[in-house]
Formats: sequence, structure tokens, C-alpha cells
Amino acid sequence: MSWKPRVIVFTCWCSSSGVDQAGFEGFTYPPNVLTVRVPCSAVINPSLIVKAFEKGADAVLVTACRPSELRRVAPSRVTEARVSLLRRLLRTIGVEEDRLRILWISSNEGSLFSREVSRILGEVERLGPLNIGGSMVEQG
Amino acid sequence: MRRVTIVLCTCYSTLLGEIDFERLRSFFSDSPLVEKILVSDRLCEKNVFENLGLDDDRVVVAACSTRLLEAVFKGSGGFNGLVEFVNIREQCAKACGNREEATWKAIRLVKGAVQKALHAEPLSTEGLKIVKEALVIGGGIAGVRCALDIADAGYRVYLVEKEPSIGGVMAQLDKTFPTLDCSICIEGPLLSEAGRNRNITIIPNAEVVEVKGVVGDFKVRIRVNPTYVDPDKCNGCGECVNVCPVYQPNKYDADLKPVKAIYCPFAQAVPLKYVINRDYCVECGLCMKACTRAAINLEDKPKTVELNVGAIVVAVGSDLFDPRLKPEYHYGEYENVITNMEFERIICASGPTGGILLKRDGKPAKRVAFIQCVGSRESGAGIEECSYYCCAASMKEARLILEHDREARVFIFYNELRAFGKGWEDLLYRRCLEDGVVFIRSRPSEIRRTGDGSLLIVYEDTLTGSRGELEVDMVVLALGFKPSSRMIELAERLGVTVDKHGFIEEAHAKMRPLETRVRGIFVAGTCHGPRDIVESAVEGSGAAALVTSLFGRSSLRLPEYARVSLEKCTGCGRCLASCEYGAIVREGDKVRVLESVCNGCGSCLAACPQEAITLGNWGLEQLSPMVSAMLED
Ligand SMILES: Cc1cc2nc3c(=O)[nH]c(=O)nc-3n(C[C@H](O)[C@H](O)[C@H](O)COP(=O)(O)OP(=O)(O)OC[C@H]3O[C@@H](n4cnc5c(N)ncnc54)[C@H](O)[C@@H]3O)c2cc1C
Ligand code: SF4
Ligand code: SF4
Repeated sequence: MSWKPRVIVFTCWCSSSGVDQAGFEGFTYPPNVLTVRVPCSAVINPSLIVKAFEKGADAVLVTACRPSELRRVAPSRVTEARVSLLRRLLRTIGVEEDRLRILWISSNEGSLFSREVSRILGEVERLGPLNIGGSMVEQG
Repeated sequence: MRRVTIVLCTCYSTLLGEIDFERLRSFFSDSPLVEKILVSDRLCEKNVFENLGLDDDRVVVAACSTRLLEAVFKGSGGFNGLVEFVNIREQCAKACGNREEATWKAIRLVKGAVQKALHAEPLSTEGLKIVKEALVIGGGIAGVRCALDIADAGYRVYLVEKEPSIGGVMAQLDKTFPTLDCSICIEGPLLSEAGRNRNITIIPNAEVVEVKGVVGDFKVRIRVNPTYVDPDKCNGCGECVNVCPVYQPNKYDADLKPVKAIYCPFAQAVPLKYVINRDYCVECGLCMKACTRAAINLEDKPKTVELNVGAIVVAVGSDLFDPRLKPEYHYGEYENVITNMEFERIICASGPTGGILLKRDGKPAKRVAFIQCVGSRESGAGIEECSYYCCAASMKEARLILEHDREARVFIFYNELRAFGKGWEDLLYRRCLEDGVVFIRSRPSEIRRTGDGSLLIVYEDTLTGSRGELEVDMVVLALGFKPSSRMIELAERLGVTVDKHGFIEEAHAKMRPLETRVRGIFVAGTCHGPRDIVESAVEGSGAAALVTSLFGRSSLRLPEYARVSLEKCTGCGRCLASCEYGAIVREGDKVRVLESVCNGCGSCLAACPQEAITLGNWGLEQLSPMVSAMLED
């Protein structure tokens, strides 16, 4: 097939159910969206996101619970802060910041997931393959 | 070298058309990382996975929704941290447009999972032991019902009660709404059944001072206060009472009826043993001479009892609002302003006046008013919640007055009259109306005393907007439940939380209403919010069911829980607030995760600036090779 962006999606337990729901209800999205299920978005260490880019992801998506839906404190807020910091870092090294996104997905929002992920993929496709310099990729 | 076994599930062959299983299998069959590949068509059925004999292997299971399958696996006990799940159904076959794409994606997902499984560390599979004995704290109706149900299922129960007898509030009530049946007559048999039951050990005059350990294996220290009478020798004959020269108010009778310094709180007490209140005892020693069994020992000291139990039920009830905090009603100052608990004792045939409603001067009370919501449904000294039982209790008490004296006049000052329980509308509200009880919608602003000593209630009728004054002989304050600070102390000892009013907090108010945040500690009765006898008894049985279901298991495993590296932790404390469950506590200058509280959610990992907290196999060591493998060509 022609070039298609490769996307890593880190999903917390709840939003992973939302991703399940998409398939369950028959909402499709491109196959190169690869999901990694983790208990909470909080376990997604920023270096893991960097690793994904380094290893060839053209975009990284984090799906997590809406902060307003969490009971007391919001690990989603911490994740959001981490993502926005990383986006700024990406920009300083000349990478389009929109390659890193955070999406609030509840456990029943399958259609929202498939819609958003397809839209984002379209945008990344327009940006083209990620190029952060061959040397860095080789070192990884 | 570590190798992985891959188990593919075709989901009753439904996935065969959507994923090319042959290609999937051949992709991995030559990999040096893969031990073998097995294909099943129904992994979710009972024992199918177990029969594959993969007990100690690193396994990748590619099947349906991880959430569903994980639950099946955890349920069957096949969970040691070395099994990695991939959802090739909803997140792959069903999400891709065609077979070609789905197969490509399945290969990627499995490649990632293989790496994760390779780098996973085995989690402890050692089951926790379950000590099949239970502790019930508090011997009111909730605790007694609970203890009986656990005991009837065949398990030993320790029932710890702070007073000399079990029974709680219900033992003090005259009649119970809505049916007006005699309270001690229906509770008494239950109390003596608990006293006789071989599986129940009642520990009266005692309080829990320390709780350690986790679900299945709690170590509990109990302080038994001295009673100065050896319960093993006392046979309840009461000879001592005849000779004792001093009187004291009896707490059981709301301090209205005196008893001797050596006493038994009430005739139906369980255990039926005498105790001495040393605050009043003059140490004359007369009782020692009178006791034919030499049961009395004025040198008695507090004792400590250590218990090892698998589950704890908290059923300590709740205190009532202190009416002195509403000075406008002059409770404690005007002697005919009484609480509804005092009323229950006065109207009771075994109470201080033999069941005749008398004023303090000994003359009958002919005009009685009830004031509702004292300490409830208001901000300020009380709590903002409705106290649930008091509308019904006052209507019951109004009926009792009229049953004793058809000539009496009864008034109820209410805010909203709540009669929602079974039979309440009919047996309480309608009957009160028929019997001529006057309902006035108002929260009276003040009680005054007139020249002749009767009481004047000053109020504004919120239905008509008119101000009024009503002269009565007696005012009964319907007090709301209000937990005392002792509840918070007990909660702290148990590691459970309390809500803003001081009631014990449930793990989830709706979905897990009888559990606390600590696994293995349950609640029942008014200690977690206002309720009536029926509901308290229902909850006692409910909590007992949870305890026996726990005891029915052969072993127990905690979910993956967070661990703090003491080398890395600087004690900054940022993680404390990040945990929804309050599972992280300070310990010395560092922190500790309470295993039986942690739910393995991972929130705390984000909060820690030192990366001192890890959670199972969700570290960079596992996730990094996983992500790399998924992206590799
Ligand atoms: C005046 C009044 C009238 C009422 N009338 C009715 C009615 O007619 N019908 C009805 O359905 N409901 C009525 N209720 C409500 C009813 O009494 C309660 O719902 C019920 O008794 C609650 O039972 P419980 O077991 O939860 O608590 P409780 O009866 O309060 O029992 C708790 C027990 O725990 C013990 N305890 C407390 N702390 C500790 C500790 N730290 N360690 C060990 N033991 C401890 C206490 O001594 C007590 O024995 C009335 C309540 C009041 C106040
Ligand atoms: S993993 Fe979740 S439940 Fe456990 S301590 Fe951390 S925040 Fe609390
Ligand atoms: S946030 Fe980290 S360093 Fe700070 S107290 Fe908690 S575990 Fe220790």
C-alpha cells in the first residue's frame, strides 16, 4: 500500500473499553492505528511517547478519561500537562506538535473514537512521514 | 532464554473470515522468541485455558475484549502477570475494513504483546490466607443480625460491644413503627439467640484499639474495660444489688431511672452479668460479702484480647444530635423539654414512670408537641441531611400517647412530613390524622416558659405564613443522627474513611453500599448514615452474605498494587492526594501504599516527580520494547 501514517494509541482502561465499543458497534478506522492498553494514562511516561516517535510512529495519541468524570483528582490532568509539555518540545525540535494528541474517551464512546482517530489520521497524512533525522532513529 | 507461547482464539470460528489465522500463525512460527502457537475456538469457556497446561509459561492470548477475558482469567485464578492479552476482535477484526488489513494489524498487536510478555516479571501468585473467623463491631440490631447470619453459616464470630449488653438503640425503644410492636419483645429473642449461639463470642465492655493486616488476615487488638465482676463466676442472681447502698443514673433509661452502682442495664441484657460503675462505687465491699460465688473483684484491671480474623463488619450505630447546641429550645434548662429517646423510656412500661407520660413534677402531660428535624436538614450545628427515621418515630410516639390517653392533645411541628416506608402512610400518617394529631408546618423559632411553668412554642406556620404561639406541657425534640468524634477515631484505626458528616463512607454509595474502601471491612446500620431498623437488619444480613462469600473462597489474591521504591522516594508527599482511594499514607519520612486499599489504577505514578512508584508490569521496561516491536517493519 501507499504510505500511511503509523499511529500508536495509548489507551487507559476506561477508554480502551471505548475503543472496544467502536469495533463492537462496527465503526471502522484505519488499521495502522495500533493500540496499547494501560491501566491509567498516568503510567504513560513521557519517555515512552518519545520512544514511540523514535521507533517510527508518525503520530502518538493518548486516550484517557475526561477529567470531570474522575472521582477526586485527575490523573488525566497530569497526562494533559505532560502532553502539552511534550508538544512544546516537539515544536522546538522542528516537529509538528499535532503529531501528539490527547483525546477524552469514555468507556462507551466508540463512535467518537473512530471519528476522531480517522480525522487525526487524515491530518497526519497531510503532514507526511515524521522526519526527526536519521541519526537519532539509528541510535534508538 | 525466555520464550512465549501464543494462544489464538477464533471466537467460535467467527473470526476466521476476518483474520487470516494461517498467516498469523506462520508469521510467528519461526520466531526464536516463540515457544509454540496454539489455536482455540472458545477460550472463554470454563477450564479451556486451564487445560492447555500453560501454568508457568509466558503467554500471549490473542482473543476478544481484554476487559472481558481478563475477568474470566482472574476468576479462574490463572493470573500471574505473565499472561498478556491482545484484543484481535473488537480492536482489530471488527475495526478494520478488510481481512488483509486486519491480519496485518493482528500481527503488529501480537508482536507488541510478545515483547511485553517477554519482559514481564512474575507477580506473586501466592494466595493470601483467609482466616475464616469474623469480627463484628457493635451489637445493635445491625451487628446482631449480622453475627447470627455469619454464625449460622458455620463460622466463628466475635461480637465486640462497648456497653455491658448488646442490643443498641432498639433495646431502648418502647414500640417500633409502623406496626407499634414492642421493641424489646422482638429484639430480645434475637439477643438471647446470639448469646446462646456456639459460634458467637460476645465481648462486652470492649473496644477495638488497633487493627493491622489485610483482608483475610486482620490482627485486631481489643481492650476489655474492667467491670469488677468476673463474668465467668457471675450467674446474674442479683444478690449484690440488694445490698449496694449507692444509686447512679442508668444510661439505658436515658439517665431517667436510677440503678445501683452494681447493676445490669436491663432485664433482657445479654450477657446477663452485673457490672460496677466505679465512678459511683464507694468501695464499701458489701456486694463482695453478698455474692455467694465470689465473683466481685474490685482490683479488676483492663484486659487486652488479640484476635485474628478474616473480615470485619462495622456496625457501631450513630450518636444523636446534642440538643444543647440549639439554645432556643432550652433543653437541659426547661425540664419538660425532652429528647425523643427520653420519651421512648418514659412511655415504656418498664421505664422510670411505669409507662405513664408524666412531667417532671409528677403531673400528667396532657398537651405534647413534637419538634422535627432537630439537628437535621439544616446547616449550622446539625447536618444538612434528612435523618430518615424521625418523622415516622414522632408519628409513632404521637400514637402511643393517644393509645395511653385518649384525652391528650398532640401537635407535630414538621418541615416536610416524610412517610415513605412500607405501611408508614397508612399506619402512621393516616392514623395520626384520624386520631386528631395536629400537624403544623414549621420549624419553631423558640420555646419560652410561662409563669405557671408550661411551655410556649413560638412559630411561624409556613403554609399560612401566620405567626403563632402554642402552649403545651411537654416538648419532644426529634433528634437527627449525628456521629460523634469517636466514629472518626474508630475509622482511623480501621483505615476506613468517613464522609463530611462523620458517617463511615462506602466503597461506592450505590454499587458497593456495604463495603468500605478497605477490602474485607464492611458496614451495616446507622454508622454509615441514618436508616431505620428494617434497613439496619437488612444490611446486617447483607454484610454477613459478603463475609461468608469471602470465607467460601479457597484463597485470595489482591489486584496488582503500586509499590514505592524507598530509595527513590523523597517523601515530598505529592502522591498522597493523587490516589482516589486514599491508599497512600505517610510512614516516617517516606510513604507507603496500603495493599488492601490500592486498586492498581496507576494514578499515583503520574504524581511522583521521582518516578519512585511502579505498578506491576506497566513500567518502561515492558512498554518500551512493546511499542518498538509494534512499529518495527
Ligand atoms: C428515639 C428513636 C426512635 C426510633 N424509633 C424507631 C422505630 O420505631 N422503628 C425503626 O425502624 N427505627 C427506629 N429508630 C431507628 C433505629 O433505632 C435505628 O435504625 C437502629 O436501631 C440502628 O441500629 P444499629 O445496629 O445500626 O445501631 P445501634 O442500635 O446504635 O447499635 C450500635 C451498637 O454499637 C455499639 N458501639 C458503638 N460504638 C462502639 C465501639 N466503638 N465499639 C464497640 N461497640 C460500639 C453501641 O453501644 C450499640 O450497642 C429510632 C431511633 C431513635 C433514636
Ligand atoms: S495505583 Fe491507584 S489505587 Fe494504588 S496507590 Fe496508586 S493511585 Fe492509589
Ligand atoms: S510522590 Fe514520589 S517521592 Fe513524593 S512521597 Fe510520593 S512516592 Fe515519595
